[in-house]
Amino acid sequence: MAVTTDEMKGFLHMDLNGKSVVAIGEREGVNGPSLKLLAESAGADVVFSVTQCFV
Amino acid sequence: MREPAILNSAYALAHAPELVRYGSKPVREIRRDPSLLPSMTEGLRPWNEVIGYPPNQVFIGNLQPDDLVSIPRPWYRNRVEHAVTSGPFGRMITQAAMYGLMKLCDDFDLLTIDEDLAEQARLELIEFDHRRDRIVGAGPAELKKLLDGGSGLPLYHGARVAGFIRTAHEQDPSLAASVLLENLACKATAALAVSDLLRYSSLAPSRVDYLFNSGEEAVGDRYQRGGGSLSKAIGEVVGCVNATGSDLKAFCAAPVHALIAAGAMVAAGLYDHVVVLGGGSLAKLGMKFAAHLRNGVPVMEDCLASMAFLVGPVDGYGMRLRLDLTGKHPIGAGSSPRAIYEALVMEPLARVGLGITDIDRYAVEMHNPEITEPGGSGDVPRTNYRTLGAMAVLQGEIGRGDIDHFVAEHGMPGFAPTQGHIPAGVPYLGHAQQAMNRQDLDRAMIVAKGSLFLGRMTQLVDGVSFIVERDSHS
Repeated sequence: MAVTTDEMKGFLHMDLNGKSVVAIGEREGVNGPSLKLLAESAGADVVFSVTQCFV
Repeated sequence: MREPAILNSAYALAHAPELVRYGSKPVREIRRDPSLLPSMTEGLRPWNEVIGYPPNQVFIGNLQPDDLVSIPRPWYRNRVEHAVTSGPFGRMITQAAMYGLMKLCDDFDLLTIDEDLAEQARLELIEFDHRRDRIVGAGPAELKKLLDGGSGLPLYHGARVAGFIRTAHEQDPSLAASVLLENLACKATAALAVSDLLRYSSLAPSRVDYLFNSGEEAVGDRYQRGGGSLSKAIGEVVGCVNATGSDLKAFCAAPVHALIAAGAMVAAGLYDHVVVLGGGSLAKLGMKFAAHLRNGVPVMEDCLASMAFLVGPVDGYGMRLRLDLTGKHPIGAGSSPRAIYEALVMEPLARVGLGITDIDRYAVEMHNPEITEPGGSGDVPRTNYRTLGAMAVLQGEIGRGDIDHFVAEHGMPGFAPTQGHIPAGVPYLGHAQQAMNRQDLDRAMIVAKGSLFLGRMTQLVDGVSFIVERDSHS
């Protein structure tokens, strides 16, 4: 999915504190455990995290 | 210590449109929605389109990877005219020949094919003379009996049911017909690549000492799932009577691990001729078919790919395998793309004072982008090359604006089928040897990654790399 700069700004300013998060990472990008740590550091409750390989 | 070399490469594509329905994703999706089967079948390509498909011609060596730059996309519409099935280091075979190969590899009468299919296969497999008499067809009554009452899977060819593969043990999921079909397809396609490799190398099969299988199959039984060793089974088919072998597992990185291990065996003086091989992954046929149908493109994961490499002491004509410049992704390294490339590329280069731009060509994950892009996975090799280019910027080797130029000069378009271990850097080895023979290439780096986390035993990824260099006479 293509993401516009404005949408990206929206992501960057997303408040994850207290939110439930599903973290799906990818081998060629950011992996699941890293996303989980990132979301947790922002106060999120990561209910599921996984790394996918799309090739 | 003897210096090892990769002496030759062989690649094969077996057209398998009627096996696509037994790929992992099609099986699951068609079970959920049976109406997908006819639309998927309609989306499959005929043999002549598979032959003329430019990435396939690159895979067998009739085109160079760079030729794809000048062929407009979509490549499936801009096919090569008068394309042929044989190349300098590879070939394509029809589905009939593939069924015949499976039959001649079948030591347990698992597979039954009809008489017409057997006859066609025998005609196409002349070089397998020592086993061709095993390609015997069954009469209609025998096949019908199996289809009506046997436990197994029907096999299709064209518009008809032309065969059957039976389950070998009713209570053993490792010996179910679906698993045996995967394993037999892998064995057959790998045997083809090894047979061709030895023919290209003018090496008698009896001179092979050791075989390393690096495929994605899991041959075994209920007590030892994935026990192996398909390497030895393949060596038997090809006539490597003096060889033994083993299977090396590391997800898609296995072939590069195996090539390094083979080089070490040769360097140590343990063996003179080691074959590294990998057969086709039936599970990955049609893996992205739903995205292909959604986007109105052909179902392009329709071929089983296989490969084989001969490793021996340097002979002046092969490619030097620099064991002193191998890279590995250690357990303690991070899993970000940058951490992976620091381990696999920068660390070995830094050991001898080389920079990223000192490598003429990198072969990374060589997945054909035309297959991956409709599903949203992007152009995987390009992403990898851009990561490498960004690291060259950080090293101060190139400017920020030079990344595209770096990608064009040190990378190449993806051309390999999405068969996991097949695209993992190694499809370039045949091209690299040709380029070195033309004096167009001095040094290439092969980089492979493996998604260990998919097996749910670790969150880790894996990766390994090595460098090949032009030998004195090449």
